[in-house]
Amino acid sequence: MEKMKNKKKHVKSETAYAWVTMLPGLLILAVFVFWPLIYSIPLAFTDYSVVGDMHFVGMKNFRKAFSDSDFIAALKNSIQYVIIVPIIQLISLAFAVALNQKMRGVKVFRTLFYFPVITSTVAVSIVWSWLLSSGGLINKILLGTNILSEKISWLSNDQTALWVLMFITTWKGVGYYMVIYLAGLQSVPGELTEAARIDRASSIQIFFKILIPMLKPQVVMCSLMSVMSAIKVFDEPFVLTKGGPGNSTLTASLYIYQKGFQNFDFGYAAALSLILSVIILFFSLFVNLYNRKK
Amino acid sequence: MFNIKKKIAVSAITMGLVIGTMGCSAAPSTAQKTDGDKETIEFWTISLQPTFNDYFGKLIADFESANPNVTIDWKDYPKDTIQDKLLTSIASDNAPDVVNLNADMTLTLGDKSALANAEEYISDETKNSFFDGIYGATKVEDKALALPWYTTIPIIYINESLLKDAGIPTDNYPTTAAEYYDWAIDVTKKSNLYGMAMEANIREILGSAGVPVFNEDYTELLINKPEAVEVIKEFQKLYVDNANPKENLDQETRAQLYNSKQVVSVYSGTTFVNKFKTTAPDVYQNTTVIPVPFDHSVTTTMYLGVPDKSKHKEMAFKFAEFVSNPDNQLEFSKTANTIPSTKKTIEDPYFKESDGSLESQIKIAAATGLEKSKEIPVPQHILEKVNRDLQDILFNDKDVQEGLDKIVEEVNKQLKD
Repeated sequence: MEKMKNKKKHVKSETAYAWVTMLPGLLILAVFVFWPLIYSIPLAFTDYSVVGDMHFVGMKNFRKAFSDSDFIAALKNSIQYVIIVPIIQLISLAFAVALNQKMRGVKVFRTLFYFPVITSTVAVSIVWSWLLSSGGLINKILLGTNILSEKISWLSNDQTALWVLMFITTWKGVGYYMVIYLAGLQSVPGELTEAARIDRASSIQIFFKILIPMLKPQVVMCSLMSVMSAIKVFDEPFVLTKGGPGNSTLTASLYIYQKGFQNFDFGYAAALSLILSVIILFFSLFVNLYNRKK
Repeated sequence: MFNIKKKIAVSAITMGLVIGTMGCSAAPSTAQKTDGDKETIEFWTISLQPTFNDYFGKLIADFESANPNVTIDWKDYPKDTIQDKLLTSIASDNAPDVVNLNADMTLTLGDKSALANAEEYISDETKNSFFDGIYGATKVEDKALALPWYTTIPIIYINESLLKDAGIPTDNYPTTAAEYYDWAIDVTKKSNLYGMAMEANIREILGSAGVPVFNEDYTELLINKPEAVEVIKEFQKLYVDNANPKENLDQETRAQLYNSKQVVSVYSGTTFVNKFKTTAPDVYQNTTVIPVPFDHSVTTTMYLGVPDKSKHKEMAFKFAEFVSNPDNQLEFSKTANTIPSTKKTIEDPYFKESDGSLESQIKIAAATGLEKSKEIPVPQHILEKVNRDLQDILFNDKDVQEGLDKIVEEVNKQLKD
């Protein structure tokens, strides 16, 4: 009985300690994430512009959103961005498997692949804009090797601009997911793959039949994060194209930013961000349900 | 094992320290802007530090010695961030007192009644000191939103060594828009470089031709009218013939192309020389300038506005008048290669004399352009949207009339809302 009482007291103390250590982080989240999130809900029903008076406008902002051709175009582009999710996951997984081998220089490769993740998106975007300009290195190489017969302005062409941004996002994000998969692979018991090899399973069979099922928690988590990041993409279009040419690289987050911080239409921007949140929630639920079924 | 109570105590102290330091970073309230009897005027500029620290140091010292009860607190921000910072400062009731804005930002903020009416605070002498077109550009319904400050007039920079290498004469430069476009296409064919670099900006393209962008009260976009369509079709030919790069040609991109000798001529303001004087000295040595061969020179003027929420409007306008007075504008022109917005300043011999340097050529060419200058403010969010869509039409060789009709429909709908 005495032992039980002491144990309960200990658990209570541990819990109190946990709360105390989490409190600073929770306070920051509360002020910079939860409060703006909650406040944006009533804001979406007003015409708040920071510098003028605020008035309640009911559902006007939501009606406007569904007839706003720029917002519809931005949503389409954001959803198209989700195409990179399976590509980025497969590449990350492949790299993780390759770098899980015991070979010389593997730590150097791991570092190199992770470099794009830690470099500033702005700096990376500026460098890519130089490489991709009509007189840039990419065109010079492609023209020099006769792959192209004339220069392409990759970021000014409405057929190529969004795909180029998606490529840059993939290039920058692969290292991040690779590290997560690498950690997952290192927890896969070596006996499983050894046993599979003894049974004459090929590398591809081991990859799809053993490694991927064992990495399911990581795959679900990474896919979810990747989908959410893809729909919310902002940095690359903001730095490189500002949504142009036309609306070809306008994404939902960029459009919301423009409406809020350039038009000063914070009420409308709040309404758009709520709509985007619902769409992201829908995609997240879909990913979760799909993985549960499997 | 570490005692739980000690852990909680240490964590609580740590948390207290963290929260305490967070409190220290809070922005000062406007009440703190008055230190005893001294009034503090917060003055914001765009990208002028540290290059012009000496000029502003003297300017501020002169004003403070003439107004001993005033302290000027000078802060400088990049162009991309100043509008956001201004918004957040107004929202937190901590607005600066004098803020440097371009014409587009001035119009956007004025539309939200965020700027005080200069007409109520400045003298008639000050009002009359500015060029009418520049002062009047940010007047809405008899309300002057800001005082003009320095301006840049566009001119054409030409790298003559690239022309000589291509066997193109350097003694016969174009004097009309049509001649300039033909010349650029010819240069491209002979040199295999871009003949010109001019941004696909609706304000510059139509303003240079004297074609209106908006109606007078900014309720209707006019860029799909026949005369506007004609001008834009002519401009589109430059992309078809690859004479103008299919890029978003902001000043940095134009500088990069000019410095790396990928483009023979650049349409840019008087301060563009600062972008290649030290970074590409051989380009600097081989550059000449000519006035823009268009009907009008579309100026880019910086203004000084006083937020309506400033608690020191009278002194703020007094300081703004001081900064933008003819004498101080002359000094700034000499320091920064800008053009003044005051009539008296442009009469100074400085703008007529040449010492043979490129800077002299620039100021003389620009002063010529001032006679046909036009300031065409466009609300920033409209300008960005129109230019994005215009670039799509021009770069991808789309139907001009159809594309412009679509832009006008979308923007006019936005303006009605």
